[in-house]
Amino acid sequence: MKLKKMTALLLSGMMAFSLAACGGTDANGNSGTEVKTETTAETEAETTETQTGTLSANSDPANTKVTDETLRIGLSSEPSTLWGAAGGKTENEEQIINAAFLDRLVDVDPATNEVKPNLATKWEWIDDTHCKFTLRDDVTMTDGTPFVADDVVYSVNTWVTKAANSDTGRFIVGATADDEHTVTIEYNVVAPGMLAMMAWANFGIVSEDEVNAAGGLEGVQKNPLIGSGKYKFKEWKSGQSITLERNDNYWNKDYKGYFKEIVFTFTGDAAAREMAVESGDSDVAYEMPVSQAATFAESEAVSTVFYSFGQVSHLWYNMGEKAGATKDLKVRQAIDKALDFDAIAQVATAGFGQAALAYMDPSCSYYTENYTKEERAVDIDGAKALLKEAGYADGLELNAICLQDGVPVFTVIQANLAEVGIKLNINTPDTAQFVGGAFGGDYDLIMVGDNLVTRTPAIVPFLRKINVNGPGKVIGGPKYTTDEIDAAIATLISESDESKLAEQANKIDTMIKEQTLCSNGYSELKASILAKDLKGFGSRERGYINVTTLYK
Amino acid sequence: MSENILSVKNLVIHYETDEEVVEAVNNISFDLKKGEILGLVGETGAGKTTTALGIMGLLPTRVGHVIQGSIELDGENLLEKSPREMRKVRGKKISMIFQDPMTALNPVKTVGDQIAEVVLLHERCSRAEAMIRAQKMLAMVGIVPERYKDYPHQFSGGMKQRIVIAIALACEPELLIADEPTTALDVTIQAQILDMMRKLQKEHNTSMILITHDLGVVAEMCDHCAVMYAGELVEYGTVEDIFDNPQHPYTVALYKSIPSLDKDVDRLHVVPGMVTDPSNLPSGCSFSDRCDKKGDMCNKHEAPGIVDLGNGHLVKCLKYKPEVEEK
Amino acid sequence: MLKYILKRILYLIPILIGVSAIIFALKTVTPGDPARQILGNDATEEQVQEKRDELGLNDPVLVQYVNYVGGIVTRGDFGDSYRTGEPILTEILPRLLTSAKITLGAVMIGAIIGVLLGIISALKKYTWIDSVVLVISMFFQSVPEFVVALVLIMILAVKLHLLPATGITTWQGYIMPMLCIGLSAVAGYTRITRSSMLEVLGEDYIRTARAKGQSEKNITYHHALRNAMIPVAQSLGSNIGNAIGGGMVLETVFGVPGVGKYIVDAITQRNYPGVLGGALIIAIILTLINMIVDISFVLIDPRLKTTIISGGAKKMPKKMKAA
Repeated sequence: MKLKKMTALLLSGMMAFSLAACGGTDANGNSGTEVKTETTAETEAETTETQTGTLSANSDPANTKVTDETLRIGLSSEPSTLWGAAGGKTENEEQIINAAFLDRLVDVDPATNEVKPNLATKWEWIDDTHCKFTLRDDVTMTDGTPFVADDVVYSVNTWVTKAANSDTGRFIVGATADDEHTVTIEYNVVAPGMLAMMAWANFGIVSEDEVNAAGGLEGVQKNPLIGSGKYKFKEWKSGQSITLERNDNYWNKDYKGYFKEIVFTFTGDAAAREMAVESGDSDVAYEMPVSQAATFAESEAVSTVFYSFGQVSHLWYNMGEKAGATKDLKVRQAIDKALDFDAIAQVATAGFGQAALAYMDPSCSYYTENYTKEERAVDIDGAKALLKEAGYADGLELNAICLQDGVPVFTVIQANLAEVGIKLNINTPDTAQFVGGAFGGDYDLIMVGDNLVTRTPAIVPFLRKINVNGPGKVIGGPKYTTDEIDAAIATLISESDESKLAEQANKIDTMIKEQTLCSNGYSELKASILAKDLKGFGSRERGYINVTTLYK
Repeated sequence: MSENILSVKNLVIHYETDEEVVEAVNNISFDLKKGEILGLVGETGAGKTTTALGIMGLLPTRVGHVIQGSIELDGENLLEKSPREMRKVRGKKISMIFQDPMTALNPVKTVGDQIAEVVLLHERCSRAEAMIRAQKMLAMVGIVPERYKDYPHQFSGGMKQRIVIAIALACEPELLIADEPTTALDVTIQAQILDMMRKLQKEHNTSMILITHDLGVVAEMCDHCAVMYAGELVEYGTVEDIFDNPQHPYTVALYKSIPSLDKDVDRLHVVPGMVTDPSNLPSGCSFSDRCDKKGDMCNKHEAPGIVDLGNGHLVKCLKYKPEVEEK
Repeated sequence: MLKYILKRILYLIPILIGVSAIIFALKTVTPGDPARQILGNDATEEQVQEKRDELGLNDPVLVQYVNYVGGIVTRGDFGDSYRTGEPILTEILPRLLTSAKITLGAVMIGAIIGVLLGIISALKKYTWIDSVVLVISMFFQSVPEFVVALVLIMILAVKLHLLPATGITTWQGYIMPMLCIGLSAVAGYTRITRSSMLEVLGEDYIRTARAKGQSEKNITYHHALRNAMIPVAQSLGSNIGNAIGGGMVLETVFGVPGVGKYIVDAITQRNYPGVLGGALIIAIILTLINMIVDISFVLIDPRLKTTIISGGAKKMPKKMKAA
């Protein structure tokens, strides 16, 4: 046991090194980032706000200041649009930036997951699929015109028509203005979580006139003089920087933007991004590889933030048409017993995260622990016995598929499985091939994250019938489900009584556990590096940094 | 003929590398009178060019060393001069023409510039004046002065050598050293160049050392002649002395190797053997290995001293030291 | 001369056909569907098919290739970016300017330092100075550029706060990328300069200059250097190529919006028109640069003028050999 721990540690050390070494490619532009988007979009498992420890924001009662300072944020790549909803896209950088200049109907308190008023002062579910929002009457759009219900109607129509295939548009039927300050949005699913989802960056509110003035749905994506957020768009120097400036007409006079300007720059290399913060050129290095950020955790010169964002990484066993030995429950159980989840979590989070004890993330309001530490301990003999029962006494060979950044974790898994006689081949194709293979089920083992904080209609997509049997597709998963599980997830999504959620979630968790459809891995972490004097770090849905809460 | 313009005494030059020491010039002495031409004759590797470079102060740095002796120009010992002072001598008082005109000119500078350069270095004048002088010099060596703007590659070999001569004579030096000035040229051109050199030498009353292995050239041009072998001066005298009355066996052998229209010979006489390796000289007389008149004592006795046969006809051979023969 | 230049421009055609064909071939064999790339994973299969038709991806490769080349030749159209929908040329041109500044600066830094070190080590050959120069230049050649880059950022930006770590929002931002690319080229220039200097210093015309009474300093700078620069200048063309290659990596490290970063980003984004257009434009520029470099030799080496003006190498070789 001791030896095993040592190996894991050693491995984790090596992995950290190798990750750091390939940090360039890793954080280089989009290969990494885009896959994340793809995974989340595809898995239809997008979710919300985070637990970050630091909660202070510009809306902190202690901080109502307005300064002439400039905030500089280093992103890993340049977005191709600043209002993806108009083109049916969502990009990480686009979401981070437009969240600062677009305002949404509601907000979510990252600490409590509680939905709070924003552009809408109150709301009311008229029935299961209609929600009526009462709007503020003191909001001015970028073009100086007052914010009215028609702006919401126009925005919703844009999502529905232009982003019909993404989470931005596909759960919404449309919106009607009841009067100048009341609007009703109709959804096509029964999902109370849609309300919290409306706080996502995807759902920024714009007015038709300002969109047309900014160049129509095409032009506005590059010149987004739209919205009513704390900041407004100022300048986009292609390839170089995007600048926002404070919106002096922001409706909340007490909590306007703290900074005069926010400048986003794009540096693919994570180390260079970090050094820009250390040298004082930049205030934030967003999205550092965790292992690389870990090396700065003790640094005097910068602060390093690690934060989970409600996403748990699960090891899925293929049980679909192309499945091999993993169709056998005993094999799946044997693997689950053989794995050292602590070591996996250590390697994956550079020692800053924990092994998951349930399918759900601890930050979910409906989280309950489902495994004991004992249950998760390594049991080599038990695993071997199960394999023998399953007829694999002489061992077997399995294939895993992952992207380059998944190799460290799979290397630990490989070492664990070798001890029980399973030979694991790790395949690391390029992004496109990975997506193809993960779609098509060309694997025995695959690790994919599921973001569960916001109870959107898209959570636990891997086990929904529509994705496994129907027209939808998911990246990864078991390629298998049952009616019971599918119904249980549907219930979790549509349940309006929040007190019943934990129980329902636990029911799903137990069903997954009984069949060992997956092994729960760890809560994923993100890391950013901040200048020492920067306060108010907070993150938004899916781990995006919230740039409007920062101050010095 | 009056005083000596150049007086070389007991000059020893060694080339020293990590591996070996080459005794390139071995204790030679000679004088050159004003307005006279001295022919320096010998096979390749005899030390002729080294002697010339020694006079110019252009021995290869770090390798070539003057071990002893003196080189006096107008009574001043050049070996005692600083590099800076030597730069004032070179080009001004002594000029040198090198063997291969093809490579002696800088390919990226116009010939006018290259002639003017030496004028500017040694005479107080403006660039424009120097260029005019350069054109005059071109005219003097028989090249259309307007071609001063041309680059060396636009001239033929013979014309290049004319330009080299123009450079050498631009500052009217007292002494001109010509190191095989015609070897690299076509035979027809050779005569033209030699004629021109002789003419200019006479006009300016320049003293000259003509290095060559062509005895015919010496006969035509020179007043005195010095024959070198393996770094030593084996015979010295007036052209008449050397040609009509050669004394040293090597000089005699050299004569035999000249093709002659008068004599009816089937094949040319060749000096037997290879040129003695200066880094590995035999004991005694250095020519002894190839000498057809070699006596018993030639290798046993120390190197023969110089014997004056009268009228300044010097020879370095044991034959003329009867006392040694007798022993 | 004009004839020569025209001829060199004609050489561009086979080069560009080659480059475009190779990259086009690569595009067809690499996996991944550009149509899906553009539309995202939310798009349905029908939409993807529609997009494929629109982009002409369902046509035979040869037809696609001919259409592409036709677009460039007839309309100067390198296609539209899959990512932004903008014409490639519009996206690349401003980036080209940025890269050009950096490349030029880098080549200048590299050449100046390299040539100076080369002269020093030639003049001080076989001394300790020669060895030190050799070690320094080898160091910068053998250490990968991005490592030098990170070390430079560490020292100049993080520790000394002299220069911005990334970006080119101010002119100071250009310095480090130029230094990095330049330093890696120093070794090459030093070596060429040193050997060519040593060769030239042994030439007869140097001895002629000495015989004129010229000082060593003037001999070095007026006689030797210009001759020794000919091979250095000849290597300039290929060095500019290397500098552009180095720029690919370093622009990413330094966050410089240049062509290199554009192509690297285009590769990771599977933005084929971006990769193809970027590579082609760089190929055109490199060929033009090499041509300009060749022509500029005439200024250094007058012997070549005759070759070029007379329009061929028929007359020259003999003379060159003689020289």
